[in-house]
Amino acid sequence: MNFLSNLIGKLPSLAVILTALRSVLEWSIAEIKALAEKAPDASLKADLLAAAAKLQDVLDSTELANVALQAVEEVKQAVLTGKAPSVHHPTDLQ
Amino acid sequence: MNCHHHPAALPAWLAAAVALALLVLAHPAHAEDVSLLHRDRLAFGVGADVDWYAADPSPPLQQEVSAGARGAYALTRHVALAGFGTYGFGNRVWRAAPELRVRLDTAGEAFALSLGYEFTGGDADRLPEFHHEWSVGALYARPLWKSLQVGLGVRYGLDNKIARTSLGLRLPLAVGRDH
Repeated sequence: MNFLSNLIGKLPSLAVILTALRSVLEWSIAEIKALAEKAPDASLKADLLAAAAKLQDVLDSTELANVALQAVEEVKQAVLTGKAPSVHHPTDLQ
Repeated sequence: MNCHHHPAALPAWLAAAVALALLVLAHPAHAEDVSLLHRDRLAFGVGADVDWYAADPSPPLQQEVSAGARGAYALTRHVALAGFGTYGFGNRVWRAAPELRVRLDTAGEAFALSLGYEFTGGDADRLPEFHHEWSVGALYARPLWKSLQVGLGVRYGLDNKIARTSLGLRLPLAVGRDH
């Protein structure tokens, strides 16, 4: 039970950190892509685009955590309103 | 002066009403939401698996065929409460667990992460040290033929430190309507 209560207790802090991290990554990727567009030579442009792609990979890897936090938000809204979409999923019977 | 104000104010009021009506109609997702207590949220089925166990040192449980009933209650689009009760014919051990699931749809495939509390009982020689424990898991499923589903799941018991990999078939018996 401690495991679960500790996990739930840390979720709001994790949500703030993750949202900030994703925002910084998104901003950095956009800035690097903008710099790449203005790059004076093709080599520098390729390097900048490669760096942006690596950051995009990092951003994509946070998607799982993002879905988890989205799930928490859905549950919160469902509890507050007493309603939610009812959708079945192939994994329901696993 | 008032006579001039009324004709101008009326269209503005009507425009606001129409805009509000359009705004409400533009949110079908909310209109489809149903109560958290609704029978359509339920899904129930049966299934059979081949289970493999892994741990270091080797667990008392051997590879086996298991079968049982499984159900779920869809809470939100990404969250469901689920439960299962199965019996392993090789180890003569039963297992039951309620689980909280987070569903993921990645690359067109259906995955889920689970957090559950598993209860185990049966043949004392084959039972692991802890008879109830928290477990975490990763699950995958896809429709196979008609309503039959194939699924792969890996669950890890946090106390016994035994990983169980299950490959099996599912037959949905009653699945509520989506809203």
